Amino acid sequence: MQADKVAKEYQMLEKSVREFAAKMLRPRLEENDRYPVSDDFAKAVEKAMELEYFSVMLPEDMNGFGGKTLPLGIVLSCISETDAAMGAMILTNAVAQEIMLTAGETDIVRDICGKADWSRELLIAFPLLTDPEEDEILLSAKKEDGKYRLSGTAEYVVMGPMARRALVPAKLGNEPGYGFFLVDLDLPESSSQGAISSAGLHACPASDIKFMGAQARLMGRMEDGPRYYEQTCIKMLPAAAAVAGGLMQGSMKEALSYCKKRRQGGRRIIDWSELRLILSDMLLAANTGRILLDNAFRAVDAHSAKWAEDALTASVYVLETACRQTSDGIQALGGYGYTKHSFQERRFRDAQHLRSIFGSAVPRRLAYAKLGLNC
Amino acid sequence: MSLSISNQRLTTMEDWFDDNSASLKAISSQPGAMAGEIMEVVNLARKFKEEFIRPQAIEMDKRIQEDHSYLPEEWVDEACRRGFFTLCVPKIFGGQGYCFPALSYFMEEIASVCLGMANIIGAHYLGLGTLICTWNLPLIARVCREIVEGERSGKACMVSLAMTEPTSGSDTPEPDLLDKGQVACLAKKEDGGYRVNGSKIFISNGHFSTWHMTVAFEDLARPSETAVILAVRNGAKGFQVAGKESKMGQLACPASELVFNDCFIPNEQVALSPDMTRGYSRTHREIYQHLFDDLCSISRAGVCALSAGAARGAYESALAFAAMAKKKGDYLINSEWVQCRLAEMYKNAVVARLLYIEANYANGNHGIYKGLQAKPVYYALRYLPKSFLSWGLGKALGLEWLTGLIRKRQLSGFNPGMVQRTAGLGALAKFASSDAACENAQLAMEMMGAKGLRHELGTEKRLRDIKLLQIYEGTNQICRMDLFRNLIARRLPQAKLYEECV
Ligand SMILES: Cc1cc2nc3c(=O)[nH]c(=O)nc-3n(C[C@H](O)[C@H](O)[C@H](O)COP(=O)(O)OP(=O)(O)OC[C@H]3O[C@@H](n4cnc5c(N)ncnc54)[C@H](O)[C@@H]3O)c2cc1C
Repeated sequence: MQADKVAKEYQMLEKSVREFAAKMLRPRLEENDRYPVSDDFAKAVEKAMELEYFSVMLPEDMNGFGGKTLPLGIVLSCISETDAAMGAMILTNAVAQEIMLTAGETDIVRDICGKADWSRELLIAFPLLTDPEEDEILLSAKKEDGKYRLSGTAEYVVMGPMARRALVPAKLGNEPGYGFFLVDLDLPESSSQGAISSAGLHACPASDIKFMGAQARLMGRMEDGPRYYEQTCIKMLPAAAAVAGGLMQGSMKEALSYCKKRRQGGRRIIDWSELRLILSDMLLAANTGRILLDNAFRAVDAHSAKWAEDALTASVYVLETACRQTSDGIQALGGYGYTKHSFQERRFRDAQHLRSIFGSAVPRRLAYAKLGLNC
Repeated sequence: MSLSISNQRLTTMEDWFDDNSASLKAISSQPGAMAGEIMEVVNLARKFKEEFIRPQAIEMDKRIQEDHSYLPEEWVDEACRRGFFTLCVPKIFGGQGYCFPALSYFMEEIASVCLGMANIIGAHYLGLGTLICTWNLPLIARVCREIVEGERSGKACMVSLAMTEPTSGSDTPEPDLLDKGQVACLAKKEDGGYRVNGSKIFISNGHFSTWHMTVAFEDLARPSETAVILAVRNGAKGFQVAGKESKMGQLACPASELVFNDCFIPNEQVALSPDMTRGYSRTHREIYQHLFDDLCSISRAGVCALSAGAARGAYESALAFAAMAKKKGDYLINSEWVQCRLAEMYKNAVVARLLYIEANYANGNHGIYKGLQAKPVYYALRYLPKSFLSWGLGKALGLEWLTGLIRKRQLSGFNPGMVQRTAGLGALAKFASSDAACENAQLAMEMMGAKGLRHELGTEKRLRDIKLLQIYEGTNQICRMDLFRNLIARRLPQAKLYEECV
């Protein structure tokens, strides 16, 4: 009975997200591929907040689904099928929230989400595309009078140009490890270098942020930063992959619809077996991704024995496959796919970003081998 | 499916050997001085690349991303000032007369930094190459004279190829597809010329070019039998260079829409028409196919050169990154996986280069370059003074029977086996190299992670630019079919092309 109720809730969520994407995002896809974002995109963000997509994973008393990843996956994949930039915003926020909750900072999260009457207040920027374990941390924290101050640069902070706050990792002197700090980006000691010009996800921009002794709040305990990160990373990787999975679904559907209409050599191009095979591969990738991700979300939410391996299996597959599959998505449309007549080229660019979430792809595969093969 | 395997040999040893060892034959047949010419041209490209393109490529890409209507005229002016639009125009037509294979090496150099700039130059030679493939000597002489004059005056005179239509992309150069397709560009024969109606899309350099080699059809129901190739000049009444595409990459090189509205093209600008091939030993359809096979033999070798350059550029940026970046306190380059990936990228760049070299050797041995690379012709063109050559050309052009004879010989006297060899290799070179370049771009992005996404490093630009290589000059799917048609199917009478059996 309980399971039925949950399944129904998820169905309703999916329906609501699809309606939202069709109404608020689809009509203005072309103009929403830029920063500063259009008024319509800003309105769509506010509407998504109103619909609680930005708090979908929060505890139930904060109107979320109580830490479950599947509802987030539903939101992300359905939205990203249309517009991955919006998906990336929701993802970034959810990752930052999750780290803070893992660090035990429930009150702060509640405070931020509760008070928000304006979208910027709710957004928490986060360097989603770096791995503090792998990449050099260029930010240092100093403790003075019981308060922390940050100095240095946080690189590639996603939503940096639009959020009120950022959650960033920083090192304390020469001590090993790192901690996570919540910092107010409106402080005069924080200065964003402006939106980074990048391949894709233009409406979800990143920036390098310089801190010059900016006061910041430590989340949880300093020495536990790597643990918060690792726990969050594996749990949230399928969510990142859901954005890429959405891109694959979108790319496959647009290719299919075009190939049914376009004629060359006297027949619909879908009737050329070589092209049909490309479409078949695209479908295979999109559906395999969907099945793997569904399985991964359920394993994570049920804390099943192999949840981490299932999460990694799905994520590694989807994040890598999306780059190839969206390239085929352009190919299927020929010259039209390469131009802004279609959204295939945008999906291809966006997919490149997803591949680097939580650090670059090959180290992730090596980590997968370590976990999956126990070696 | 019934299957009876006969002992019929489908590939002879000779085919396999001769198809794939053009370089061996070239050792003795091609003029030795070509190597020196190639090095001269490579040095010109390197200088241009370092002095002009590298410092600006990324900024220009950003500028056009912000304003898709922007046209980098200053790049065209600079290429013109440096003589790049006459580089391979034969001396007899007033150009600098560097051998055509040198152009591939030249393009590779420039493409290693910016495919957009490389395509500006490459698409000009694609247009000119189309005209040359029609063997209409008076028209070639006229257009070349203008190109040379444009260079002298500092206002570039460029040529584009206008083939693709809104409803006809892959179909247009493939008679087997074309006749079942939906072309719409109509050329109605009238007294003194043709009246053209229709439109062309995705035409590289449309906004920069003075001349547009336009493929149109007298009868839309019988396109391959009635194809005409017209040299349309800017300013012609009823002709308009309309919109400019917003596209993902190669932003410096515009892709344009051309519109023909009752546009009259006089006979002197008709490069090829069914009237002209009447009485030849081959049908107009066969000549159309041969012309595009010849053209693709060289233009696809050209795209292969672009791919080789782009693959090299991707390799170079990944190498620079791996050599400097540190992960967990050590240089990235000290990871074995990085070393193997760099080796793979190096391989892709080199294999792409070898492919265009081989394709160009084939073009020299049996294809469109053959005449120009015959040693007596080559050395005569190289060492005789320009004034003498132009006097000789003037005389020859006065002899209609002579120009007619040359044209007839070139258009209908071809050896199908040789055309198959060059066209097959061109197709192979194009799809293999562009796939390799795309792989390199993806590998570079993967290795660089978030850094690779930053516009300022140029890696993501290269990825956007490279994807086009798999699409234009025949999509890679069509190129595979061309390889099959030319090199595999020739001893298979039962093989049918573009007729699905499933
Ligand atoms: C930036 C740019 C610059 C260009 N420059 C020029 C130029 O200078 N001059 C010019 O004339 N054209 C130019 N083109 C056009 C280019 O050559 C065409 O885009 C290309 O030939 C593909 O045609 P299409 O876009 O109509 O795709 P389509 O032909 O519609 O193909 C769509 C998909 O169907 C596949 N397909 C089609 N037919 C078959 C088949 N029979 N079997 C299997 N698969 C098939 C294709 O491989 C592709 O994957 C340019 C295009 C672009 C994007």
